[in-house]
Amino acid sequence: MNERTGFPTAADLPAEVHDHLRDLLLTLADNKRLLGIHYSDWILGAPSVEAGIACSAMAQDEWGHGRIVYAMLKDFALDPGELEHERETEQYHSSELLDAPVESWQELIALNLLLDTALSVQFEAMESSRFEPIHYKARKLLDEERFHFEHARGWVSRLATTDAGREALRDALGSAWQACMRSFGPTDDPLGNALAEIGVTSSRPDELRARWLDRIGPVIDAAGLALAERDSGRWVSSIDDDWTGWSAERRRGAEGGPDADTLARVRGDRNRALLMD
Amino acid sequence: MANELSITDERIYEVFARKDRADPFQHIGSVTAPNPDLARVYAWQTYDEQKWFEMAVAPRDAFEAVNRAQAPFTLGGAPPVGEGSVADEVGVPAYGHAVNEEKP
Repeated sequence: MNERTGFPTAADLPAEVHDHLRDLLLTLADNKRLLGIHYSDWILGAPSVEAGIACSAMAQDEWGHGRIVYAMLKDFALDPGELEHERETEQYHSSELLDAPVESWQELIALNLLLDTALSVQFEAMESSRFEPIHYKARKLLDEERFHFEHARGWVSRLATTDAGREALRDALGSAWQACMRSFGPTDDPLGNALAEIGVTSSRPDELRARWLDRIGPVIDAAGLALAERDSGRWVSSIDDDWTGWSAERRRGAEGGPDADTLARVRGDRNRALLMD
Repeated sequence: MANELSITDERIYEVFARKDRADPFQHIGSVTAPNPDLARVYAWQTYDEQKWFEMAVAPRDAFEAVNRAQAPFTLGGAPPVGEGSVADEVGVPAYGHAVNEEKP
């Protein structure tokens, strides 16, 4: 039985998971690229110089992670150049939370805590994947993500020191909550279950969601925000999940995609207009 | 920006780092942050010019002066001459003299 042997390339993947892994990687890459854009928007508007530098560093990290994963998709017969620069909005697999500019610092911190951590949990599930090309990349990426989580934790704690800050944060977290819960896929998600079953990821969607809640639960609880609660040693959401509009292919709960301006920036349209080839 | 983001409760953290295990810790700068979590993040992301083996931060106000009246890192403010300024300290003997002591 060769069940535990690795898959050195995409061509070695069993047919039933090849496209699932391709779709998962594209989703992760798109989310990282978009999240980086939103971090970068706050470099100059952050509450302190240090916070601005942190946004700049996190933006660079996310773009780097996105680029690494787009490059991996070449092995899945996709052209990274086309993926990065030539897709239309409805072809993006990014979260609906990233479609439009982030309006407030609290909303950015909500994405920093909830969405960035949700992405990290999904990469953690591939640290020991049978798909070998992802190992080193996932570890390096997660090493950088430690500081993104600390940034989120530090700012949630800081904002919760005032009543007004805590209220604004509660609203921002509440608005992002459902989409982040959904990001792991539903309990019976074909993609998430097939990848876990064959050992490309470590765990099924419900377990990944539970890990995410275990990570963020203590942070929001310490801030006095009743969005998750402890139950038999684990953290559970105080808000029921909602799968209205969920697209299993695009891994998001809404139609559409990044708005025109966001799309132009994500694709680098203005940068490419300067190319003289 | 709303009032809840005012930064009046921030503290200064001093940043120390070393490039290799065998190196001594060196003071490389400071950051301003509202809590230790953010101080760590800001330090790591601000002073990223090296691939540090180890970095640590400490609140500036945690330092205790040993042989001088003022703790380290508080000496750079250059208070006015005549009010115990840093410039007045030059030549202070090694033992037994407080920073603000009258010069002979």
